[in-house]
Amino acid sequence: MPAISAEATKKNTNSHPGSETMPEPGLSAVPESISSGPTEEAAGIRILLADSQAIYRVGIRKIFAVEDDMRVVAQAENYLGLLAALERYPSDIVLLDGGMISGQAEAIPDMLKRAPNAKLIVQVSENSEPFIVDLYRRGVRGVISRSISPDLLIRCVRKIADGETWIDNQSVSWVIEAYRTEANNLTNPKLQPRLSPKELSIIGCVTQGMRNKEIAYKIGTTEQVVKNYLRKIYDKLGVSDRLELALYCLHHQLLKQPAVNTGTGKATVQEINMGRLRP
Amino acid sequence: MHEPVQKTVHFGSVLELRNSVRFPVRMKVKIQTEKGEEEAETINVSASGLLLAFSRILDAGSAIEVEMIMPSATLGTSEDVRVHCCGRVIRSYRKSPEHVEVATVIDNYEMLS
Repeated sequence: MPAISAEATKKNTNSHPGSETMPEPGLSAVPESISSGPTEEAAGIRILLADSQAIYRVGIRKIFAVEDDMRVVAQAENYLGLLAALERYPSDIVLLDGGMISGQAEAIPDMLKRAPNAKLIVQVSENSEPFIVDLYRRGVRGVISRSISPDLLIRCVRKIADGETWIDNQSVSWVIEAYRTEANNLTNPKLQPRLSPKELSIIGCVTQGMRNKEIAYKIGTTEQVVKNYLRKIYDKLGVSDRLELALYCLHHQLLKQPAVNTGTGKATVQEINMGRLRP
Repeated sequence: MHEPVQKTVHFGSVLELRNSVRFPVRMKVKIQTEKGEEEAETINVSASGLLLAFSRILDAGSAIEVEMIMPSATLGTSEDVRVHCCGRVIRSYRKSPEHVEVATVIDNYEMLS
């Protein structure tokens, strides 16, 4: 399959006479993207299509072609092409094939980092609860079937471009259940993750209002190491900042646990924090 | 996918998908309003906001400062931990004739030992 469509080659030639510049492999720009110029605001919903199957891209583009308020600004046939397109062609909607990002947990955050204003719609071929919940959790605005009808696709794109979220009843239940479970896990004292003595020591310092630099000095390491520990602690406990960590400790009485196994014996968290024992 | 029943919802109005987890921690706090320092009690606390039990309605949008003392005995630290939060009142409503709940958002905070 050619990395660049005939349309894109023609457009490149038209817009940059004599230029040899070609889009990245896997990325193809369509004429509308370049002819829009300064009237982008009035040009309606800008769509970036990302699908490994050309037949889908062609078909979907035809669906959008008859809508006055929609235009496809670029197409990508693989993930790398998509990332390049996101930076090069500002889009309102990114319609992508879920298979393209399967197994890449950071794909959605990466895309949103590159194009914070783009709203992502993922097409999936099967109903996988963990995958769909994860997509919504990571910031996707809509998940649709690859067999969605053209009318429904158009409605979906318009709604999402308007700032709404497109979610079917089944997915609503899944997402609610996932958040419920997550909240229960965070507030249920019986479900506490394992923390090392050093992690507990750092938590103790944080809850006392110490800054990273002070903690590093106290436990005899660098500020960067403390940051690394904190990131790991946040991940383990599911908290996002120091206050949430303190609240977690307060609620679970995390630092009040009678003893911490240091490997060579047992010590209380207070003992570790007071420097009587350095794990 | 379940195709036949597709619908759109605003997460904000239908589902509660907050970024921060609310901990059902009840403790006495000092709050600073336009009328000066007063006492309230937390109903739940998250890193982004507090729900307070208070004696009167506060205006939505008004500035509020909250000082929480996390007791060392419960927290497991050697000293009490003081947290000073600055924020705004989002809404307040009367739950019963003598019971008002005040929802606040925390704009910034400082942990002080």
